[in-house]
Amino acid sequence: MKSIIPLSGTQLYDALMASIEPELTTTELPLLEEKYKSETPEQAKIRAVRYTKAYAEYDKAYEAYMGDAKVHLSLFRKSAFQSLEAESRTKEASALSVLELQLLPATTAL
Amino acid sequence: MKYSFIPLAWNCIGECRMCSLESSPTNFQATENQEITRKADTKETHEIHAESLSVDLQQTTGQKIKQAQEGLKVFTDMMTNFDKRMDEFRQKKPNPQESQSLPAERIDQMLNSLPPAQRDFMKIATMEWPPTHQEAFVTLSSKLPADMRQHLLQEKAVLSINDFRQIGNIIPSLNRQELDILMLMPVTLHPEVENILSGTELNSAQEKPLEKTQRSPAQQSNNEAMSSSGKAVGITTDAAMRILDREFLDYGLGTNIISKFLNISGETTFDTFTVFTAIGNTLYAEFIGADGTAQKFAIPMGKGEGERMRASLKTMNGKSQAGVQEGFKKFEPIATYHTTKVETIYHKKPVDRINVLGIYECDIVKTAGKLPELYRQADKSNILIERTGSGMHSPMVAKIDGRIVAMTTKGFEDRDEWEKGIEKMLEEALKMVQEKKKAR
Repeated sequence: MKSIIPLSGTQLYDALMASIEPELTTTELPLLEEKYKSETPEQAKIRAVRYTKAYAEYDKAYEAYMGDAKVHLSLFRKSAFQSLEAESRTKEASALSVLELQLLPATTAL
Repeated sequence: MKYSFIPLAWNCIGECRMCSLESSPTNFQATENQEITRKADTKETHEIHAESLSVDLQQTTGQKIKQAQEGLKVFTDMMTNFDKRMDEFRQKKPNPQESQSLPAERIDQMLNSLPPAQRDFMKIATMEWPPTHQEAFVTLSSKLPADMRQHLLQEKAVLSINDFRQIGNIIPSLNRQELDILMLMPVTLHPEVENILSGTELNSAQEKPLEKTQRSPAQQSNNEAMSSSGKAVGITTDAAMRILDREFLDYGLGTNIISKFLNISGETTFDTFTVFTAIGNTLYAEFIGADGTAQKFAIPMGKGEGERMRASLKTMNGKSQAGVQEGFKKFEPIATYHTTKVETIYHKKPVDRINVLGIYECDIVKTAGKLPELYRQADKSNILIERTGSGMHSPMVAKIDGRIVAMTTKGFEDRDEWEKGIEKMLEEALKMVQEKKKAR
């Protein structure tokens, strides 16, 4: 299950960039030179502009990702606390019942 | 743009870790000091030029990957620490300092120096103690004045007010084990002392219910300012801290345990906002529900959970103690009133607000003075407070329009000094806001 989580910066970068500009993913980048070897300077300019926009879009996506992750982490921590609290209550209730059983004879004798 | 794998991924983390939480003990929240810092969210313009397209792409992509790596590291580090803490709790690793024990000969030597009656009693008592408590017996004895030591060790010794004062003087220097031993001393309370501890004197002064209008503005603002998330965030005064500590209550779970002894109307949940204050030996607990209904209780400590636990120890040792039944008494509220809804405060950047104080959803805050009000003012003035690093010792900065305008210099080693540093920083930032307003 953990493999779904981006394990490396490359994986995260590729996951975000794939839906923005697939040509800029790490697997596609090395192939670009060959792919555009007969490109004119004008075409290269247009492509450069497109890539600049793609990186700007990536920045936004990255920020959104980190924000979402932060929220999810916060929720996770909260649910962890709640789980511990519930467990604590159960344990305490059980411990107090035992104590009450131990103490009741002593108190009635007082 | 939404990326569906994100929630899924975090759910997966959550599920994996929640499984391991099933068997985890309880007190992990109090010092959870990690925070998420967006280290790598700095916006940079990456212009790609046609004439250097290949180089630009390589450089920019490299930078983005590095940025992503750093961003992920913050999260993975945090989860690693989380796992580590869980493992520690599961394994209940003993504190090395606590596991040190005294040689048996030294304990014997100490016991043999006592008069026969005391020696016999203590020998019986110490037989059931763990080594740490046997050591505590010796160290406690060394901290007590000689006459007090002899007096305390007498069976049915009657403790006067003066005795209590003397004990009060040494209590701050006692560790948990020494406190255990002190509480096990075979003593009887002087009626005057019993009256004080049972709250008789205090209760007579508190019969009149406290209405909302009787709450001081400072107290009101304290409640409002600190209740950033509407979760179990509370204020605990120094005195209340000492009482909680003395009564062996974990700060984080104090609310939970104490609430068992209170006749609280309605359901108390973890969302309850709690304020602990203390006067003398009385712990005042205010429980403020999510709907703003508040109840205040006066709990004479020493007759509650702590006493009950000690009584159980004594019972198990074949001893009983007058006043055990007090442990079963449910406390009635001394006041019921209505206050501001706790969730509506600090809706801006609640997570950051929590992290500022180094606290988390179920932690408690020790604070007093003008800090809560300063936080409130800072919030109104759009001053953003951030920690510069991920550690508790990292300085805090106050930002206006993204620019750092003030900074703290004190670390977290001394909480009071740390809070004073934040106060100073906020005062400086607020002053700048005022000056800006005037300039306009």
